[in-house]
Amino acid sequence: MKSSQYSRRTFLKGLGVSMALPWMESMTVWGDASRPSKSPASEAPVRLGVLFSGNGFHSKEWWAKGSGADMELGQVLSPLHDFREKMVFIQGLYNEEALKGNIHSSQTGNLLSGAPLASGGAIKSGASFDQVIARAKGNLTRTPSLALGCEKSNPSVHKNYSMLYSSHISWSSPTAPTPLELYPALAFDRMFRDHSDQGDQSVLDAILSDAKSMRRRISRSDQQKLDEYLNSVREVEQRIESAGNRGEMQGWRPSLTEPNIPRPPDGIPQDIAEHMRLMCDILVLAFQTDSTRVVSLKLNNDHSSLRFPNLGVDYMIHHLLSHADTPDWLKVNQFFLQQLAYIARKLDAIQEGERTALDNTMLLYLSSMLTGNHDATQLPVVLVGGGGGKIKGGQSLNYRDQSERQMCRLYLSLMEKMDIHLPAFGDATRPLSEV
Amino acid sequence: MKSLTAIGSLLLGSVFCSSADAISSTGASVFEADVIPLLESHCLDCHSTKKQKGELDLEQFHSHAEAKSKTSIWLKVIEQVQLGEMPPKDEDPLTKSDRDLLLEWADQMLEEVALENAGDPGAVVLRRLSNAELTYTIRDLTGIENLDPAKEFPTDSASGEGFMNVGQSLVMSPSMLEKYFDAAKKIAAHAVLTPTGIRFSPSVNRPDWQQENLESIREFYARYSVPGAAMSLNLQGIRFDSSDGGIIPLENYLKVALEFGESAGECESSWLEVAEKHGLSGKYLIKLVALLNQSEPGDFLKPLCQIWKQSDVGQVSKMVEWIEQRQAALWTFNPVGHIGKTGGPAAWQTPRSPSVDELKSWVPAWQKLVELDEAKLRELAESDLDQFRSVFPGALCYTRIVPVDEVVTLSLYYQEDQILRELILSEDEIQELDRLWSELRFVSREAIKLVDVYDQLWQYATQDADPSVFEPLRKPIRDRAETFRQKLVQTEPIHLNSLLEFADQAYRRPLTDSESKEISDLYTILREEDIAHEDAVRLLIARVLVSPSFLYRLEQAPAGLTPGPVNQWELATRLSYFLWSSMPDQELRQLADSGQLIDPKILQAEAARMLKHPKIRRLAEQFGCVWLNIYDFDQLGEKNETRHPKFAELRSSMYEEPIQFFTDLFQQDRSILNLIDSDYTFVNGALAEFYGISNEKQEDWVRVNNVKSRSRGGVLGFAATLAKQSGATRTSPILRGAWLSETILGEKLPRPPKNVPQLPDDPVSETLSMRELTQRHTQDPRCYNCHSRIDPYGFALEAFSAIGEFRKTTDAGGEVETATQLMDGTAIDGIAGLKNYLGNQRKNDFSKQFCRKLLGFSLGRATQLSDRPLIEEMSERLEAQNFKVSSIVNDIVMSDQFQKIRGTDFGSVAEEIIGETIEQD
Repeated sequence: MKSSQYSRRTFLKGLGVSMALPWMESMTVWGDASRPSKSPASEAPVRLGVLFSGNGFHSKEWWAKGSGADMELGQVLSPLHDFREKMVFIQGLYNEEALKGNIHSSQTGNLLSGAPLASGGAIKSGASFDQVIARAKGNLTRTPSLALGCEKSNPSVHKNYSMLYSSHISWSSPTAPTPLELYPALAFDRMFRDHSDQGDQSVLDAILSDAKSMRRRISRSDQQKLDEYLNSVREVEQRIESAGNRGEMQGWRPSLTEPNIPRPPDGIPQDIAEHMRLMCDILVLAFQTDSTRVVSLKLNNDHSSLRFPNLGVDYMIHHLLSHADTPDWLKVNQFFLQQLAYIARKLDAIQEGERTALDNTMLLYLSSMLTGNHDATQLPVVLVGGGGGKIKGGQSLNYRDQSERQMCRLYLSLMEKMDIHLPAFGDATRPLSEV
Repeated sequence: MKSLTAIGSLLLGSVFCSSADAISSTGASVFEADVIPLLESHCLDCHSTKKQKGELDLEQFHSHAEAKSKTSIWLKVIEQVQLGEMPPKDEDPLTKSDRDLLLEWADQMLEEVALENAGDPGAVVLRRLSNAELTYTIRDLTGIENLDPAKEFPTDSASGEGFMNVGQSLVMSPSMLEKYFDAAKKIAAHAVLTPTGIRFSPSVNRPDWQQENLESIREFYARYSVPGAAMSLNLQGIRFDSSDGGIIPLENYLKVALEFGESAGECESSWLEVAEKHGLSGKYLIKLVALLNQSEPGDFLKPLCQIWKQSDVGQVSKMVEWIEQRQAALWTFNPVGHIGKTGGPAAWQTPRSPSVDELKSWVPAWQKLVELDEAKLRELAESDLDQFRSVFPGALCYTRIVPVDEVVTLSLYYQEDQILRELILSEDEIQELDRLWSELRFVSREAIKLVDVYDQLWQYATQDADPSVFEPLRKPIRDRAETFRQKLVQTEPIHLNSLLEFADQAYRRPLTDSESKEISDLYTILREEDIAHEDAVRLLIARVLVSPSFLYRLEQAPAGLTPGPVNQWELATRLSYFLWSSMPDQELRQLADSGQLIDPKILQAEAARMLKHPKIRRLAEQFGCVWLNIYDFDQLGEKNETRHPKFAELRSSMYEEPIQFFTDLFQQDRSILNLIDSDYTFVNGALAEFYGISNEKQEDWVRVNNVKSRSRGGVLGFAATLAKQSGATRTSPILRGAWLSETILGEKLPRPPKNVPQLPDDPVSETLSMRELTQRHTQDPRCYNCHSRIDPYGFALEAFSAIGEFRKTTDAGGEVETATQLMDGTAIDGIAGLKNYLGNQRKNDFSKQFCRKLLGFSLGRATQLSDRPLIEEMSERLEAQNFKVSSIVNDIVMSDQFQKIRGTDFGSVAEEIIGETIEQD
């Protein structure tokens, strides 16, 4: 029995049956491509903030035309009026894989990776570009990235796709969405927790060796899952180890070393406006203190059930509001864009050398569909911030009629701004030259 | 591709015994002769290898065997054709005979594949404990109900059949690992080291632990004694009353003694029996009866014995009064705070010598003697008094334990229970009491603290008095502290052992030798890092609670490809996480340890026992509520407070109803058809009022009958389900209809089109009812096909508002209209008509859906094609068993799917091919 199995397997290999690579291996490849330079940096680093809201926007008021200070903005984008010269409005990009499968449940989980989504009880997407950056740059900061959220993920399955997809934009690996932090206080702690207790290291060593010996005794598919655990332990260990000597290599110092806002109260704020505001503050604080250079902030889920009593719009949840172009829908859209404007304004007030923190940051705002009718053939995208002086603001770009209009091209562009040069990402092989 | 398929069936044949070769030959000829031409004329224009519209290539199949290797494609084909989605409206439709031919062939082909693979355990991805499972496991492991370790963890997602216990969606990340580690340390802070091992406390503070130990001693004392009358105490000039003494409940003893005196007589074993029956101490009862029965009592006791001889229960209070009077005179109580100092009292309770007058008043015969000699009188009386005292002490024990009668006391805990031990306690009880005391002294570290207390007292005394009276205590106190320090060191190995037992429980299996060694080694390492014993033990607890063996449900797969049974501990774990979302309890664990669990009878008996257990409430929530899409409904914030001001207060009651309903269903082994239609439900006061069910307003949950008349009973009548499938303000027949169709009946609906038309500009139009609104916009031909299927279900439920309240008028103010026609032509009216329809015409669909869901939940994966035969069998047997839920649970527990695991090589090698054939059903 045994020998015949073996030969069968060898035979299969010969036929070119592809074996799935464990995610760490593929990650290492990325890491190599972007090995940080050893020389001290004199300039502030580029940071990436990705903001997401689900269900698209008002169909008639998401637009921008003209350029620079003459740029005109649709009403949804009006909160960004002051940042016209630092923003790029992008139309016409899309994500091929998000057109397949179901509405909502398969339109978000691959938004930042362009990967196909598995259905039928399986969970599989692709590592999202923000997490690829986090992996490459994460060792330089206290925490590699923050994945923040303002709405709990939806624990159900819709039409064969887990709603996990519609609640997670950041993915650490194809099989593991980056868990979301919903508690402002805990996100705050995570940034400024730079110590470990006595004995922690020994305990981590012990469980790592536990996991390694367990690994030998379980099936290969289970091994892949256990690797999530193993790698997590390793990463926590490394973080503790490097906690002491971080910063020595840096010529550049962040403008703030200690938090300048109080630790948010425990728990999740009842008021959604307050919740979002706290998360925005944390994002700004993270960048300002260089606690991390990558933050994703999922303001709500696709298929969201948030209500907005703060806006006087409490008769319908976000998802259902999205199905009609009402004045209330517009009001809600603007409320979301105000969050982006709030972050931009705060970052722009922080001076980092000759530039402001906003100039050193890329704030990408996007949704899973253009409007509430589930149309994902073109996605709403707006980019605010200078990417370290590498992004020219005041532009309005339209790719609608171009042949290569993959979202992943944009991601390749943004990764380049952070010195990560990949030959391909998702379904794209070349960056957008205009960005 | 051809060769791949060939390998596919070859592999399949070797893994699962093939028995379908015979059927296959007819299928093969049908496919080649009839199906291929049919595909060519109706499908291949779009779905050719070249065009692959919708990524579908139907041209790739040249043989029946090839078709069998890609069942997922055919499942979709069947779905599309059955739903009438394909061929598209603008193409030539399939004739009825062509349609039947295609569907019949495909069905049979799938059936073949299902049978060939029947019993496949499936691809179950390694499962981390879900947040709920972790919480329950921690609670069961520590016995502490208030622990909530996952409270601030990221919420779990669902996959598989829609449950939160599926490996794929249970992820881990560095930040989560830190959370687990922090949570584990917090749990470890609840550990209390005792002289015999480790216990867990609801608190993390030592004073609270001491208090718990104190309380358990007091509870122990209270088992045998009643509070005494208040005693006067004098503390630094302040007088106050204190009832410190545990008194013998004399009345109870005397009553029982008198009542059974004749029948029990002198027979000790009869008295023991009588005592046990009445919750009294046999040991004392025998002593008491012997004292009263003595043939020639002394002068002092004679009057009491005489009353006793009358055998009149009515005389009990007279006897008690007689005894109490003399107890008060023959015993005295002293302050305990300074016992042991020079000139201080020897004990709290000491015998008191009565005055001559008292003696004379008790025994008239002694009056004459007094003139002779007081000393002689006392000598004469002493043996009588001693006899009395030996059975009637003033108190059994000092129940206050913590002295309050001095400003600085010399004992933090004062123990005086010698009399209780002598008179009342059995050997076992004495041991228990010793253990409790030793634990209190250990946990409180009293001996060490006393050294400081003594020094304080010394200084205090030097201010205004002679401290030398405390000198005799100096050495004993220092000696005790030293002994205690040694004891602390001696108990270290005990804690380490206890920790290994803890790990054994936490891992839900015996530890391997190397695991035990590694845990002990880590202890050594931590101590070498200068971490104190107690802190090291806590870190070890945390280490166990973040180890993969605890956090994950690791199972060892047999080598190779063939599935094999899981071992007995894994089976016990599967069973307990299925039914209780937690680790096995002691009984289940013992059956695994002894190897008996693999006995089908025992396994089934365990499942039956567990279904009855209160922990089955967890299945009600984790399975029932998740299935119905109402998990965490008590936190639902989707309702408009202005329109529905009652909702916020009612939502937790609304959530409790289905939990109670499912719990009862499992515990009482009821028919699952009750979920469709029952005449009972569960309400508390608030919900009863909301439902208009006449029931005196009660806070407690009760089962109420005759609820059909109130349109309740079953899942369709739950306020929670009705409210969940509604908007913030108004109802949504579409949401309710789609939920009923997909969730309750398991129907496959086509995906909504990607480009749905916008709703009319004014979605909250106040003039149209929701029904009219819905009908208006679903008339669009792209929507109609699906909505004519789901909307009528929702229309039938329009008599319930957006928060599930029964109503006669719609949100728009018109009269509610609940009569409707279903897709299959059946005309129904309201919830009653809908229930009737579901319970009759759709009974089978519902029971299959229930089986599929529970199976998926139990396995932690989506059901797949190869599960079809099992689900068929299950639902057949279920009907034969009057739909009792235990029938499904039994079938699941006894199935290969539940008891086996795929071989180690299955995932990596075979899945590429076999995975294809066993796509989700």
